[in-house]
Amino acid sequence: MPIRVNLDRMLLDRRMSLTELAGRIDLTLANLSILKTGKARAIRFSTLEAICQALQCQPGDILEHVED
Amino acid sequence: MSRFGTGLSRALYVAMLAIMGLMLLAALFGAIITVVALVDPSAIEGLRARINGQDVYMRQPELALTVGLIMAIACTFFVAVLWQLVGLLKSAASGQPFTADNVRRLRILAALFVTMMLVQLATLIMPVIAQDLLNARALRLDLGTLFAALLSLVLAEVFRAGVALREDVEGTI
Repeated sequence: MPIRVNLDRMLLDRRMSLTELAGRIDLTLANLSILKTGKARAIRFSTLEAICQALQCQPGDILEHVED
Repeated sequence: MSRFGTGLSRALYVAMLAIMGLMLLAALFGAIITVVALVDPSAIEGLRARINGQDVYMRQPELALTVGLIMAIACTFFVAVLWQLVGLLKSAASGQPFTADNVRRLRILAALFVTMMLVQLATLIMPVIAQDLLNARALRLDLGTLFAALLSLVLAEVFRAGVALREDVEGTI
């Protein structure tokens, strides 16, 4: 998939667990796990905004376009 | 949501099951007439059928064979159609109408209607015996079947798009 989700790296940098992030942005752990593993088909702006706010980062820090 | 959330769904489900039961019985009866006409033609003498508002006595085994065969085939088709409709209704009542199973059901319905039309066409060119007994008005090709097939195919395409939309929504985080 050309869009890579760098959520695991961001979480590692901030020493935050996936469970903690899920609690902060009010998203289920299962859905956040789907997003982290790059299995999600799409992401809502509201979800992206909540993640950026919780991790104090920009959307580009989480999503990255990579060549096939 | 319960399996049959609304009263209308429940009533439709019960009605369709009842009609399906009656159709099964009719198909069975038709099959029995066909078998009896083939095995022991003399046994069906005295049986009466009402065709196009006229009472027809099955003195000829060929008539019983034709009526029985048409009855068995037509009723089996109706049961098959109702079976698909019951499946559609069940999934709609459970709150998940846009599924690949329903697309398949609608395509099967279309195939059944096309088959029905082909059977009707076949009865038009059946042997002289059948033409003697069932007049041309009864065997006229029903365009409603063709429209039903087209409608089912269109609905199948709509449902296929619905399935894709549902998958997109479910895959959105």
